[in-house]
Amino acid sequence: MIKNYIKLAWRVLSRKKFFTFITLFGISFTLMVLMLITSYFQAEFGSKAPMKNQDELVILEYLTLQKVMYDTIAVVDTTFDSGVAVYDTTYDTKRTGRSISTSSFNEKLLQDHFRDLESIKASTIFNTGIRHDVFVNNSKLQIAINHCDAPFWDIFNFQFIEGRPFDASEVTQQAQVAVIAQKLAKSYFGKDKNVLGKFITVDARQYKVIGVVKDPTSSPDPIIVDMFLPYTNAEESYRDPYFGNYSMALLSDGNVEKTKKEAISASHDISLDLQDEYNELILKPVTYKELYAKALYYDEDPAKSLQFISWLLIGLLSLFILLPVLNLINLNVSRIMDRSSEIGVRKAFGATNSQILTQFVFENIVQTLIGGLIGFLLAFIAMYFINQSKSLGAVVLEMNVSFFLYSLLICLFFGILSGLLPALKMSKLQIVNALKTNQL
Amino acid sequence: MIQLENVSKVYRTKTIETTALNEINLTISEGEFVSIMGPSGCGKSTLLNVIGLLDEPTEGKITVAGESVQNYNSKATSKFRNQKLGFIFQSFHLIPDLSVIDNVELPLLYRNVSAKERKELSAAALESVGLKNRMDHFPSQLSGGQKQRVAIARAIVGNPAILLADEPTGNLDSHMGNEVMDILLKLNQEQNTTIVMVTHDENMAKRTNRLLRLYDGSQVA
Amino acid sequence: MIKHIFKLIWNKRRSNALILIEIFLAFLVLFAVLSYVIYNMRMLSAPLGFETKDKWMVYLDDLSSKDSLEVLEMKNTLHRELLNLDNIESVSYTENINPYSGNQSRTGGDAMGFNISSLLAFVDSDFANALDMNVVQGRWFQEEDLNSTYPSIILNQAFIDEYFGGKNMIDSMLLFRGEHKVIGVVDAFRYLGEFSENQPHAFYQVPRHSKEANNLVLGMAPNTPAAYEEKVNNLISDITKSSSFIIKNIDQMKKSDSRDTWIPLIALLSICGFLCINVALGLFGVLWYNINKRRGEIGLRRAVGAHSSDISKQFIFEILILTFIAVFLGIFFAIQVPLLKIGPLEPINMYYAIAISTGIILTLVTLCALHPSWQASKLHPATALHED
Repeated sequence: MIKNYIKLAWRVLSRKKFFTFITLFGISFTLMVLMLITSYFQAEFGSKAPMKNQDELVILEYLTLQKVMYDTIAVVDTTFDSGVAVYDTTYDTKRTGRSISTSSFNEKLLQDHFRDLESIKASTIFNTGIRHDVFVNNSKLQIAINHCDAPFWDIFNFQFIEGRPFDASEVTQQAQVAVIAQKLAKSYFGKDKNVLGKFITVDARQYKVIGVVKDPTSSPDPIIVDMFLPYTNAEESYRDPYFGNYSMALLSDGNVEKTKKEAISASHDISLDLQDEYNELILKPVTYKELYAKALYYDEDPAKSLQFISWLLIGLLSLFILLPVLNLINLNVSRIMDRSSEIGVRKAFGATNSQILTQFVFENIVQTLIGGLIGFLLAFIAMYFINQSKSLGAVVLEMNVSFFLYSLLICLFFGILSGLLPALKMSKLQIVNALKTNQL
Repeated sequence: MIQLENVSKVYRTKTIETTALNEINLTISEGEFVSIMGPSGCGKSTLLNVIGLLDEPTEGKITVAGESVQNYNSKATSKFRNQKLGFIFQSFHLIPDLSVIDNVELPLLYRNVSAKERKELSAAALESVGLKNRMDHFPSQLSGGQKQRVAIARAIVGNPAILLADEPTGNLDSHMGNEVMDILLKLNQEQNTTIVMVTHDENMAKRTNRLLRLYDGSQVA
Repeated sequence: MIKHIFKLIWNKRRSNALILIEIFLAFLVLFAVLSYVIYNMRMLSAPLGFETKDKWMVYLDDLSSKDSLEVLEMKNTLHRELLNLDNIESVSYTENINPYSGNQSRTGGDAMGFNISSLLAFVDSDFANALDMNVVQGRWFQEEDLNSTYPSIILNQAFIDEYFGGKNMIDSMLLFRGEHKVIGVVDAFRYLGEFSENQPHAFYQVPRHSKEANNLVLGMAPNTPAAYEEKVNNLISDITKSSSFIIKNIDQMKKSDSRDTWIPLIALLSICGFLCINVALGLFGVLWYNINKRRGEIGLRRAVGAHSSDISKQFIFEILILTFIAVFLGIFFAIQVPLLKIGPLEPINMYYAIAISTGIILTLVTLCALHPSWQASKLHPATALHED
């Protein structure tokens, strides 16, 4: 039976070349874009090194201090009391101005208040703001540095090509050791293979390379730097009790919302006495996804940012899928007449409605799978060019088994969606009417 | 084999009511070859469709092959058509996207017959209409007479008790028409298949056992 | 005739409904994408307010912990020595608000009796010169302004327009972070990027030797080669006794910043373009098919005396009427967005988007209808009738 369906689907496709072209163009291009989007999401949110823990992460990115100034305004009002005008003065206190400062954290503030939250398995502080110009062979190399602590390596599980991460004792001893990214190893040392034990000079200090990590393929700031150094090597540039260059990532034991709440309540313990010009401290811990959404659409509440972005994405994606599906439905429906006599004959010889339905949905799926195959090839080519041009920054699109399975799923979904309505319509066709057209 | 009691068929639109069949009573016994004649629009095809369960009568009782069929649901009708009936149409209605043998094996597809058996049965049916050498051709490569012979092969491949033919020679010249008629007669005589045929052609009608004349939806002879 | 066509459309309402929905959705997609594109294009075409070509930034180390006198001497030396270099035409010290820094400082207050909210920048007297900014009224800061009774303030045009209705504010006193005298107005300062909004902006003067002003803007001679950077680097390194400062080319920062907007923009546009082609091809197919299916009707119409142009007109009208209905429906929904002030975009962008989407859809549909209708009109009446 299935062999028959495939044979027929193939014949139908090769007979109406123009329609096959229109249909396959729509299907393959749509599926290509869907595949690219899937691949992008996999790159950014797929569970892979070094972001395997992304769903358990709570990130403390910024601290906001707010100064609200209250003004008392006297309002003189005239009221009539038993026919006599009485001047009455009322006072109205209202917010008149506010000044907001937002920045990353002072290192000590993070160490003192957020290290011992109950619901976390680990925590790391890091400072990714530093860049250094280095001249190698007459060309400038800008090195992005992440100053971090030892638990950083537990939370962000990098793949080490060689060597090892630095440990807690090296961090406390302010050891001049460095873990570098593969791309830096290449650009700094050239073709030289054995970089372990070699030195990189940054800001007049020599750092010994103890590890080389594989370049991550997604985009979070703390991981796409060139070089990781023990944070004790960094100078805390701001001498401010609250603000500094550090951010923190907390690895929750599963309940990120609980971790967020704990972080917020821990922030209430931070005393504001030191600097009386501020009277409000605001901490907004975010999950990895919220952090991502916040960068695309800012809302004071990060959860709302994520919500907005998710809905926008769902809306655009469904429109994007719906249009080609509708297009295909329209084409298929208008082609029913073409096949009506065939349906009549099949029914006359005992095909049931559901058999007809199955046949046409199946045909459509075959068509979609062919389109999917072309789309897959197109996506493959597009990925190559996107990766080559580095237009997505650090993000590298790749194909793997789950990507293939997702693509297959998308194809089937698309095929069934676009084939069902026309097939339903066809299967309901009255035999007598179907046979009347003399088209065969 | 086929029994119609007071069968009427009325087509209704908002404004007009057309009576296609008017209280037809008819009995056709096993092994009979009956032809139906009458002017255009007299209800011949409707009668055939009603017998073939392609259309439902408005009123009346139909018994085909001993089964009272008018209350069957769509699934049961499909199965019944598949097992008991074979159809031949004036315009052949071969599926252009399928080869000759694939067209012939169509009824067997809806019967869960194995591929091997399907092929054997279809080849045999094609052989009996003299077209075994054409089984891998496509319908567009055949002449009209050949197409109709393929259609006959398709109608008989499932070994139905009743064959319903709607002007099977209508689109053919007399030579080809006679060829097709010969095959039908042979089937009737050798396999004892009951055949009901609608035709315009007096000569063809004369070769059958019994002639039925319809006029304005009523039986006149 | 129109009534006749409406009747035809109505009688085939089921299959037409699908086409209608498709056009309607295509309109909505176009509307959404074009709103975003038009917003960005309008931002792009607005003046940036400064030059990026041959402009370099230098980010020095933090100076706050150093001795004030030392800093003053070092900064004066650096200023002098940098200007002595052949390829450097101007040197300015600024705090951390400068082109493509991503930093923002904003404050609000109602000391004037109404709410003012504005971006702030703290710069020295050479800033406008170094970045080739356009002072449209009054003048830029001078070193002497630091000694005047009232500190000076310079505003951008958006500030004047938003809070003072475009009036001439030169020499007026402004109560905003204290009492300041307005001495100049610049046309714009969209330092956050080519695609950023033109927001109210105020400039405050800082002395060159300020410890906070640890960034430098260098106005370079035209076509200074990138290799010149090493020379500048060595000089700064000698004077500051540090190597951890960074030099960046503002034009490159602009390019990489703009790329972040261009890439989603181009991706969206190409996806949208593909959708349009897809819908157009689909419509073409459906029309072509329907017209083929209606050969009998065409033959009959010709037989009763319709001219071939009547036939093509009829088919084009049919699809155009359908399109108008779909587009009206689309406009009805789309217009709710600016009317109800949903979303972050200014309404004007969406009105443009509605107009352009309507244009594109109508053009596409007409193009798709032309060929099949022309084919239909060419059909010979005899053959058309014969087929039925």
